Amino acid sequence: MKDFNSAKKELISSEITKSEKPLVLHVDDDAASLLMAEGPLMDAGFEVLHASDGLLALEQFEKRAPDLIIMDAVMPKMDGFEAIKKIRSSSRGLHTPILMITGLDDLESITRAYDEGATDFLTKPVNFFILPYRVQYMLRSKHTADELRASQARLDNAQRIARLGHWEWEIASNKVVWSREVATIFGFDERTLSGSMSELINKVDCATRSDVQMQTDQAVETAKAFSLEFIVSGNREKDGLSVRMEAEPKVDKNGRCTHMVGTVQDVTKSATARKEIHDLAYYDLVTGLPNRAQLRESLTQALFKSERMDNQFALLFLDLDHFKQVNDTLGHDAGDDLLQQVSERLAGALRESDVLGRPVATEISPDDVAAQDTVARIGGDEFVVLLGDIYRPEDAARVAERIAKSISEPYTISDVDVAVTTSIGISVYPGDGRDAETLMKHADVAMYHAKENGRNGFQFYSKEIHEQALSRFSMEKELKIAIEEEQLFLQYQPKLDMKTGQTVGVEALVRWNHPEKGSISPVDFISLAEATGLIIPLGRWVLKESTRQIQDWIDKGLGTFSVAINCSPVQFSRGNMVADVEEAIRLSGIDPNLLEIELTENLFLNNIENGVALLKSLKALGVQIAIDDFGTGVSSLSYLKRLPVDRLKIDQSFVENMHSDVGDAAIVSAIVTLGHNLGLNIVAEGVESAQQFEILRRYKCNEVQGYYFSYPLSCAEFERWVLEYESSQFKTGTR
Amino acid sequence: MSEIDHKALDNVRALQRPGTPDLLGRIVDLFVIQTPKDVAAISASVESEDFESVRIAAHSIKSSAAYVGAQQFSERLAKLEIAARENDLAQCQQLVDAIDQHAEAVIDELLTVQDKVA
Repeated sequence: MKDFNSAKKELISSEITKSEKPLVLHVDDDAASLLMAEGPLMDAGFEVLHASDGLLALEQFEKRAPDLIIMDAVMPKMDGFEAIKKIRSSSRGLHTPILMITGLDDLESITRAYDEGATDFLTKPVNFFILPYRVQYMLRSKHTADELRASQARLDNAQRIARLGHWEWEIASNKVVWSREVATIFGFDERTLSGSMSELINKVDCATRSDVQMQTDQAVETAKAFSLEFIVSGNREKDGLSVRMEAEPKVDKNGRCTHMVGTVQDVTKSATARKEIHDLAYYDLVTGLPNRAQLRESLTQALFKSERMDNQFALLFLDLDHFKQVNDTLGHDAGDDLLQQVSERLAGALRESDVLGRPVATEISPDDVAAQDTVARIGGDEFVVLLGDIYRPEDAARVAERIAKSISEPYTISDVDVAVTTSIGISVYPGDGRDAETLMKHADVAMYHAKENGRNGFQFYSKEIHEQALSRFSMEKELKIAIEEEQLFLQYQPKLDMKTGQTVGVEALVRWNHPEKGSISPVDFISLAEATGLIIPLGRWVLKESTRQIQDWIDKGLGTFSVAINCSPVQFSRGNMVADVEEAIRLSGIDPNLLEIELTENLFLNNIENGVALLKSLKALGVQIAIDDFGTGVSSLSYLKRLPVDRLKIDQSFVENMHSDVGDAAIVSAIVTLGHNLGLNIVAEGVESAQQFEILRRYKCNEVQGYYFSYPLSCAEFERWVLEYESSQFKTGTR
Repeated sequence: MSEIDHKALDNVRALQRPGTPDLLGRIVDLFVIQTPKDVAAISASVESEDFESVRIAAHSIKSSAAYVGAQQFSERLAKLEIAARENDLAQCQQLVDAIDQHAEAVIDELLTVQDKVA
């Protein structure tokens, strides 16, 4: 027995902390039990305290704060159940282990004791040899639980300090359970600790919300981990918080994602710090403009994008003429002041970027333009402007000119008026180089040429581009003046009715009478007008002039002629064509039926529905509508019947070879038949010979125009032609 | 027929710590002194039909009796405990008389055991 006792002692006491003996409170109204338990407990290294009923137990508990309680169930004054309840309701007794002693067969007592908060149970008669082990085990568990609680508390604290929360998302129910920190970050009530994923995502800043939605959905679908950064708005921070969300999938045996387990962290501070570091590295301190490093990145992006999209872009390299003098005479602060003012003007000149200078197909908002363009200060008085996505080199010329003009306006620096100019060198991708180095070098070289050529100007690296751009650029300016000063005029080509031979109308063709270069063909300026958007005022002028002319001929008693005018898709896509037509009709007072709008099938190229809607609103004004160059575009016969069209104009290329090419003849014949079946009039253009005329007559084409009858005529010529024609050979239509 | 299971007494002896007062002696003393008082209290409680007091006292003696090896006595007290819980007066009265005599027999035998040891 002695051996057993000493072995037991060693075993148990070795686990007890050396500093202090654990205190056990033993509560029993049976003194014999207390006596018998005392020895083994003390042998095991415990200090033992007795109480003979529940009330005394509470007293001892308050006074001595035991580490563990052994509690009999049935006792006078206050039984064990009541005592446990009282102990558990005090804050220090929340986690104290309580070993309940109950009768062997008393299941009811066990249940009740458990409900009141008993930790473990022993049945009577108690085996007092086992008791110390049980007590020891309970203390050990309590120690583990304490550590767990402490660790949990530390973790909670750490998460709070790190502003880190965790969450678990059950995919099937779409329920997410999250920690308190998640609630704080996402601006939920602290007690709201679960919800749906969309409740979280709805708090994401709207700019990135759909992207976050997509990425999380995708991660679930592919059972992949994800890491996202976004702004969460609607929490206590006015500007929202930068949040990093990371998660890993839990998968079932089929590899399907059943849960996502993740964290969210408020990274606002580090994001701000990162941005500051980035700004220091990538922005110029004096002007706040991007520096050389940032320019290099923008340039790399522009190269990548332009290569893929087959775009052009331009680099404008500029320095300030005579900057050094300002610096030397007025000091460095004045120099910095000047640089700041210059950078503001540069940015201003770019903001005015002419959106109309972009191709029709790529409608870009002014914001986008600003986003694509970069102004950088790359050192001293040197600046570089990156013009992303230009349509033609002259777009760069236009900006360069505006920059030069803006910078040459006088400055006031330290109460002194200062004048500086700039010389700008331009390189264009891909013509002047396909990599950053080359483009920079060539823009630099071009800048020196600009300086040699007398400063305050720009110079393209490539001489050809320079001349071409200059000539087109100047033509653009001249065209603008031409529209304003009415250097444009209309010519009229008669259109004859095949049956009666009468002149039923004319096609109006715009001409440019250049003060120095003389008459310029539309071929040379219409595409320029389209590219620059000048086609809109030009088209407006044509509408006004042609409707005025219709009324003039009626007033003169010459006759009632319809006038067909050609319209560009640009007028529809960027102007307000319907309003312009309405205005012209109103001003002239003509019968709308006398105005015929000619357009090509290309108008429907991108969006048939839009095209149809547009034609319907035009048609509602009462004008006639003709499809020009029919058969050469991408005709879709299925939509033709839906269009409110009056005429088809057979392209002259078919007419030209009709008599020699069986295929062309067949096409012409087919177009006539098709048109007639759809109730449309058919006009043939480019009729040059009697032979062609004869064939068209046989095909029952309705109207004809071409050199065979008349070239396009000036107004006066046309008026004469009409009078002479009264007696001419075509009139009977019997020829 | 012996009322006392000596194995139970051996178990108590085994709990004896060296250098401390005789444990079995103290247990027996406790039992010998306390039990007649408790039994008298039980009788009084039965008479006044205070079943709760009967139950608690019976429960208490029941486990003491078990520790000193008075198995049959303990079982009889268990029955009393149940009868008290069920407020069965007749049963309680019947058991109390038997318990009174039974207690004397147990105490007598325990005293002999203790004398022997002493």
